[in-house]
Amino acid sequence: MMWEPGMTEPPSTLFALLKAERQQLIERWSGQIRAALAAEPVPNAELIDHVPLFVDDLVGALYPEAMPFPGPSQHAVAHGAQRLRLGFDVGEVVREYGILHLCILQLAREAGLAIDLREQEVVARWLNTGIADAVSQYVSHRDLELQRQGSEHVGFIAHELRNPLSTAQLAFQRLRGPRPAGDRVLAILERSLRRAAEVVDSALTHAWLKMGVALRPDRLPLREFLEEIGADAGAEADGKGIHVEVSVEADLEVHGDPRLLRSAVANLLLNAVKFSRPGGAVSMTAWQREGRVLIEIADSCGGLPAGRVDELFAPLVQRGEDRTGFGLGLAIAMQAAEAHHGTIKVRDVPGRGCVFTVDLPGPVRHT
Amino acid sequence: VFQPSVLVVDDEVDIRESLREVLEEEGYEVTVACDGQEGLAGLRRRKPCAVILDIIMPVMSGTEMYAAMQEDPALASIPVIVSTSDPSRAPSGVLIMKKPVDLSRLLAAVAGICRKASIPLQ
Repeated sequence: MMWEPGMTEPPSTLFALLKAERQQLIERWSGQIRAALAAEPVPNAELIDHVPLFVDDLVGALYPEAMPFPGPSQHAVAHGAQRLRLGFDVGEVVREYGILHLCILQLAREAGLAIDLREQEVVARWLNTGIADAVSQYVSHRDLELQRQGSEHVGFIAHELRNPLSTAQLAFQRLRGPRPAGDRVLAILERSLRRAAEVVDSALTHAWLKMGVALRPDRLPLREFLEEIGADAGAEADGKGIHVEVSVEADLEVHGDPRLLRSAVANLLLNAVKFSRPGGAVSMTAWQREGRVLIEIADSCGGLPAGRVDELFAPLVQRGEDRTGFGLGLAIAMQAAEAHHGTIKVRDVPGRGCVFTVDLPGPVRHT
Repeated sequence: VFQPSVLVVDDEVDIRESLREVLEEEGYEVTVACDGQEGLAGLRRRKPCAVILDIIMPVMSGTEMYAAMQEDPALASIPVIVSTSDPSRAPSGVLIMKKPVDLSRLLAAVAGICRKASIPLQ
């Protein structure tokens, strides 16, 4: 039970107060953290995490005969790592310790306790240590994760380059071989080199988008724009006997960066061709609805394996042995759409294929 | 006249068709498939003397196709040459050729396998 005015023998030290009101302090802190968090609700056990143990150490440090200057706090270290896993940002981790300090002061004020200077110094030092240890651990784990993602990114691009380079090298061997190689081999060589160049372009676009370069928007007549992209994908589609049909509502326009939107739509369309069955159909349709422009790309890949829809847009993730190579193109398409305040959604049509819908602000009509 | 046949399974159309042309020039009858599922269907239609198998493919990977072949007594004995950019993913017990494939080595391997396969038929 908490001390209230009127009760006899109020705690005479912060040590005595926190020892008696440990649970109250933790509940108060978790309530204030929960109210302050912008993120999604976190289960209580995960929210309080190592904080009760940290508070126990703080109370121990307040003991009159305790060593006044604490060493590193293993509980704060563990807390920092846990907060990174939960998706907290660094500012939130720092604020958690600030709120803990505030809750201690509130409890003291409500108990009518004037905290002496020694105890104030212990609390300040202990909380500083907690913040430093938690943030150091958070940042060090985050840096490792960023390095891992960077390596994965490089590995992914290398993987994407291997196929066209293997094909080009095969064509080159045939050109140097004893038999005369026809124009077909030269065409294969040219196509492979073009695909390798496209991978490099995609990687650069991805890096460029990650850096948050400013958009250079322009008015884009959508029919002309999409028909051009459809024609570019035609060569790839012809090789698989796939018909690409483009259908765009008359006079439709969007306001956007042509390079990025081309990259987004072309990536979706090339993926649609890549994963459609030979002889299948791919369609690209655009129309306006409720102030938005919708571009829908439907393929005939046969539908996605169960549970795979959510994975598709994860950037640069190698997804086992099937659908490898999907990641970079889709990640770029998603980034490009988001840079235009748009979205991309995917719908699975079991047994038939996937439908990707790019949803952009607009439309603008020709006048 | 015995005409040895080879099945090429690769999702890259240019690799698939290049190997088809090269092997046909060498006198093989060649069938092609763009994934493991089509590859298995092709094997059940006609048993070739060798399979050239890519590993990373959509729908059904080369690893899955090889496992399915091993479970089918009618297909388990067909020699497989794995042609892959990532040999670490290749199943054990197969001849592995790292992509980009050296054509002369590949042709020598296929010739060796098909020569052996043709002996009982002569």
